[in-house]
Amino acid sequence: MRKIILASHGDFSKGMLNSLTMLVGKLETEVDTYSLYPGESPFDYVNDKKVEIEDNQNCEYVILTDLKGGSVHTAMTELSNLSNVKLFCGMNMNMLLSLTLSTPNDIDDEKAQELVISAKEGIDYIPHETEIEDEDF
Amino acid sequence: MIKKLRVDHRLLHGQVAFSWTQAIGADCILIANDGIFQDAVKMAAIKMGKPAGVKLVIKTIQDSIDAIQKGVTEKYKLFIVVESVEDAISLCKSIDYKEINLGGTKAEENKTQYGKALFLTEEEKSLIRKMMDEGIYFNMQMIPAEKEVDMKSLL
Repeated sequence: MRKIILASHGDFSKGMLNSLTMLVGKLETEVDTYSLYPGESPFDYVNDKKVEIEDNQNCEYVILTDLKGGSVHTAMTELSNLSNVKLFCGMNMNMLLSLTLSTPNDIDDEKAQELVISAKEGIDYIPHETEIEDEDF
Repeated sequence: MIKKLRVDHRLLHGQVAFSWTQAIGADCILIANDGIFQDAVKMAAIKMGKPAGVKLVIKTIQDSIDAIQKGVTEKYKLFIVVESVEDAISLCKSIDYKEINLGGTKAEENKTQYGKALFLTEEEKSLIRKMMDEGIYFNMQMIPAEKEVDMKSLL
């Protein structure tokens, strides 16, 4: 089984979950969000979660954070040593959709890389008067 | 092989490109629409929305019918998206496919709302009823995670 945790500064994570639900509906996989607000420490959350994660060895915890180097991600890296945790940063919709729609449980290094690639593929600049070739059958 | 024929006024968008394409295992999306050939910006935007690993073909309704009748689409797991009920029926009448998924139509005055995203005029309703009698199955389903509703129970 798998649990997904979306973690961010402020409400980004909650918004991600809202957008995900609009696109794919309610998922069987549990998706939790963590939002850091001013005055709070992400380590309080991390310490609570650590206990839960260690007690649920059969569950794969996939954690997506908003910002590499930010305090939320930095705190979460404390969990990345746990064998049933897969930690990613720079979350976007492409990453989350690939994770929920086409990544089976037990993410290995190769699948993790595929997820990162799909996230990066969703980032682009659209120049003026873009010409994209027509496709045919 | 046609996997799905969907009416969706937004044509290719997130729910279609990601959720549906994935759920039905389509490897080719056909956008069958006449108006888009008069709208270069919309055309470019749709082409950009193509999900990775899937072919995206855009044709007029008539060209779509011709391609399907010729059999060139046979080798694909084809997901056809049209803008309107009328377009879906035009297609169904000319090809051997009897199921229409009503995914979403634009909210307008004088339309009746069904579910969250489907709005039908009186003309469309009677057209659907008529086609039901001719053996076409209509269902309403916005995203794969939702339950499919037989339109017979609503009209």
